[in-house]
Amino acid sequence: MSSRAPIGMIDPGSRVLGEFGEALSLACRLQRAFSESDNISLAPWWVVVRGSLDLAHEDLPETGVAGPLSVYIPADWAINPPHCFSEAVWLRRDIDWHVGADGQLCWVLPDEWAARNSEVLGHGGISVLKRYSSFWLLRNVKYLLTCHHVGRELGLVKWPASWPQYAHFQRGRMQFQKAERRRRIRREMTHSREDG
Amino acid sequence: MNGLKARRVELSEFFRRQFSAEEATGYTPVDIPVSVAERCWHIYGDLRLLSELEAPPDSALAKKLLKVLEHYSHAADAAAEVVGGHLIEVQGQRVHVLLPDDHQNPWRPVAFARAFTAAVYSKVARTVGKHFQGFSMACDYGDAVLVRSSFAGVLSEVSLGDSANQPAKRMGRTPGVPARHLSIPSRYRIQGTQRLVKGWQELNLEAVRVPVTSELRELEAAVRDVISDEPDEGDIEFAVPRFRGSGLTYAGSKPFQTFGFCMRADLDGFSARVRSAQNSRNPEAIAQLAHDIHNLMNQAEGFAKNFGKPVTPLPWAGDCANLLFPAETRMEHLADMKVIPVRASVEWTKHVSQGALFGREGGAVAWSIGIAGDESEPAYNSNGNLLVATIGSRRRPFPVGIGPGVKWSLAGEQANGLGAEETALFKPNLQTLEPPLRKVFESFCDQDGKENGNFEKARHRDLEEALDQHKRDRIKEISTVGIASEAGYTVVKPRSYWND
Repeated sequence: MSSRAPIGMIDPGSRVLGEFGEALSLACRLQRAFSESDNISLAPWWVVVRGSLDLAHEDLPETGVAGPLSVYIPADWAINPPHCFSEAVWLRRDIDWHVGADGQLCWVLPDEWAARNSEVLGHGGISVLKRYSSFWLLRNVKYLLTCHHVGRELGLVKWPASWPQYAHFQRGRMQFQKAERRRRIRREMTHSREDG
Repeated sequence: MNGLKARRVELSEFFRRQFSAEEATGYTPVDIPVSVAERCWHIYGDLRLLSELEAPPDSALAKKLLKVLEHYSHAADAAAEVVGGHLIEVQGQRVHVLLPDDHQNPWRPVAFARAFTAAVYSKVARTVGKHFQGFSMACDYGDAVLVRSSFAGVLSEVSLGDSANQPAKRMGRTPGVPARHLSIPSRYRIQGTQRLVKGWQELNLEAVRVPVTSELRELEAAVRDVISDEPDEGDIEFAVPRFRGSGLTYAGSKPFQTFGFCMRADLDGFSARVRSAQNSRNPEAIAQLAHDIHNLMNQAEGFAKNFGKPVTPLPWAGDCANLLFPAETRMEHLADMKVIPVRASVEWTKHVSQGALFGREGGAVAWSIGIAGDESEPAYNSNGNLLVATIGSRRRPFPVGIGPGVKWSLAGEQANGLGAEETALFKPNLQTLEPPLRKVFESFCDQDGKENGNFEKARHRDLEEALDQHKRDRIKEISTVGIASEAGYTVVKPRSYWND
């Protein structure tokens, strides 16, 4: 995930809550999933929600733990994924484990986030998108934190080859674009078969 | 007497030399300091406390326990010093004093024990208050090899030899040494012996008649007078433990309470090698022994650094390693107890290789391990089940771990019926273990056929296989996380990424 500043940067002096309205609404939705949480706060370019996230999820392996999490939501969160940070002591701060030295979690490929979200926004509208995006964010973050916790539990040094991940940097984006092209072709073929 | 004085000077020199080196931060011996403590009494003392104070549930009791241990260890240090001996170990409630004696006079340890026991009952017991449950001692005489080495930066005084470890074993055996008694090998004929227990005789220190000689009278008076009535003044402040993701975490100047479990790994069969080296009277064999212990400690340090979660090293007790595996929160501790005790045992036996010790004179050796955490699940408002502190004696700080895990891991490692290459796990902790790992453990009996009610054991080879299978299953579990559905749309498989 990119750590660059989001496109929609706002001058704090002229900030209008309206621009952050949907970000605030997404933050409230995320906050409900936290087992413990601080108040939602506004930072110059972000709506920030902090708390403790229980890693339990219906389709993820059980760990029985919660991880501290801070989510920084930009105004244009629909295309720029929120930045997530964790200070869990069991986190391996290693880019090969998709965590930066500052505890930033690389939980999604930004291009994939933007592509899927625009599809959902186009078909379902903003309220459906908030539900969809918050689910996606929480599931991916829980997944990454679970990987770390299980990795520590088992004493793994390397990210196992069988755990899905994109390659780092540009190669990861190219992997996504390639998969996206294939997906488009498959979809067009399906449509043409249906039309035919 | 001149000979004895000379030995005292020699030992003092040895200790002074090593302790001055220790004062630097950490202690990295270039030459491994090794000495043969010839003709010494090894005297152990055990302070018994009510379990509420042994595993303090709150900070007030934890502070009280630390005050008690400070008072007790200062008393042992002062008593040892005043009679020309040395306090070489403080393991929580157990102290180990070395008393040089060229003439193997069994009345010397008896006089020492009588005076020290009286002082514990009249002075330390006052600090303990209602939690005091008695005090007992055991001793043996002979030569021991003393190796001073650093285990992960923690100074360890390893005393090797039968005379050094038999009294500790006697203390751990059932039936235990009664309160106000000294257990001494039966080969020393002492009047007033009340009962004999498998090669040991128990002396009631209140009833025993010590011969009236000026030397013994002086010894008793010196011990009695040197022990202070009160613990040191000053409030105890606790640190808030913040562990790094992995690696070593130390008992610092401030004590801390945390969650976690304790592992004790004993080098089974090593005593035969020590005996052989001692009997040979060959300095090279002794040096080789020290070198092997030093190597093991280096490997143990590597194990602790690479374990992938915090490890708190404590000083070795003879050839027995002591490690704590702390967790910052109760929730993490409970999660740890599913797999980490088994992983600790498997990785210890794999990485702290006894291979270097195989094939030499004295035969093969292997690890016997005891592991324990809690007696029951910690309460939500608990500060932890482990108290980690540095108990100061006048000359040397002793890092200690206190709590049910420390107590029971020792009992597990010393359990009758636990063999080499086996691990004993405290029964309450079996319940929290992952089922595939749990099923490897089985109940076991002592030599008399009596089943151990507190522990189950497993062979290291079986544990390793079960852990490998569990790892494969757990990794697979994560790799099969698939697509999901939300709000009528497909949510792609989680697939992490990194971009600068």
